Amino acid sequence: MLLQLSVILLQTPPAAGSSQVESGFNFVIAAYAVVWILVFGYIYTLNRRQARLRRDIQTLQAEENERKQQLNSNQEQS
Amino acid sequence: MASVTRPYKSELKPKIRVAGGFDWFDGLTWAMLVAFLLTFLFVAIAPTDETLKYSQRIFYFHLPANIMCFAAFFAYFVGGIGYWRTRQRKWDILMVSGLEVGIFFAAIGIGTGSIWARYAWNTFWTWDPRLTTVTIMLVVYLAGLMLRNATEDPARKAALSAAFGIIGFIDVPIVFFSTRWFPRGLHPVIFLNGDNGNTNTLGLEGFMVVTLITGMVAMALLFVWLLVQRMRLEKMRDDVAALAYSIQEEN
Repeated sequence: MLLQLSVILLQTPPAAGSSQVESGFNFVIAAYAVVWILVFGYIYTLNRRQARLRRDIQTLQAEENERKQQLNSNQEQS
Repeated sequence: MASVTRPYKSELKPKIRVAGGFDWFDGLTWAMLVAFLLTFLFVAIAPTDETLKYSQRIFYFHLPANIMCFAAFFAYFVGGIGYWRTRQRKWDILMVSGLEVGIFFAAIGIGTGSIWARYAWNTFWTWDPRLTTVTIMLVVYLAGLMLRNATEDPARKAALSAAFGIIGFIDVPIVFFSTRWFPRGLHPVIFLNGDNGNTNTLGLEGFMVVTLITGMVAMALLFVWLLVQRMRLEKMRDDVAALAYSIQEEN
């Protein structure tokens, strides 16, 4: 079945001799490249923004914990 | 920052689990990947169109991307109405997420359409009614995003966005019906009435319809996935603001 599928997939693009520009094959490749560049580009920016916010939260959380510890130690001393 | 009152949530990536321990977001991710793989497979083996030849395969991503663009702007519109009525932050989150994801899908639709036009019409761009209305729609929503980013006060930002989302949505049905209202344009009417001798209202045959439906499912899953991710990003911003606010209050 896999062999049959690979044969179909190999036969589907225009044959080597035919004009790929004429058949529109190159345009399909270009359009799909645009789709994937945009998809991965957007996911990358989303991920980068999330990572930055995660870092901010960690920094603020550490700051808050430090403050709480300091407050506790001050209370113990007094 | 002073308006932020929501307490900080320690769980950054909340996992909503149903009975049996199934993580719906992981399930969504896998479903989306499988749908895209199937779409690629079906695109490769789908029959070739007689007129547009191999280039017709662009359609399987071009149409779903444009439909998801409309869906995202509809989410923005719903968020706008919700915010206008309730003034709740959750609607603002839906608005900004819908706006950004809608612009993303509009870019895919215009990008793929432009490349296809180079083959079908021998030009990357022409001021056809559909292309013109889509451009106006994109410019309107980009202006909305810029306006949002330029406003500092959160309540004002959300109110302006809501007004923009409600008024700007007027352009979406104009884009959809532009090919019917101005039939002299180059862009074809996609959803026909079914009485023109074609096998269905899309004018596609057999396996082409299966491929299109698979592409539609894949794009719909990508739309939901991106929308959820974008909403999470906005919630994380709230968490940062809430945490900074509580530290400020303690001082």
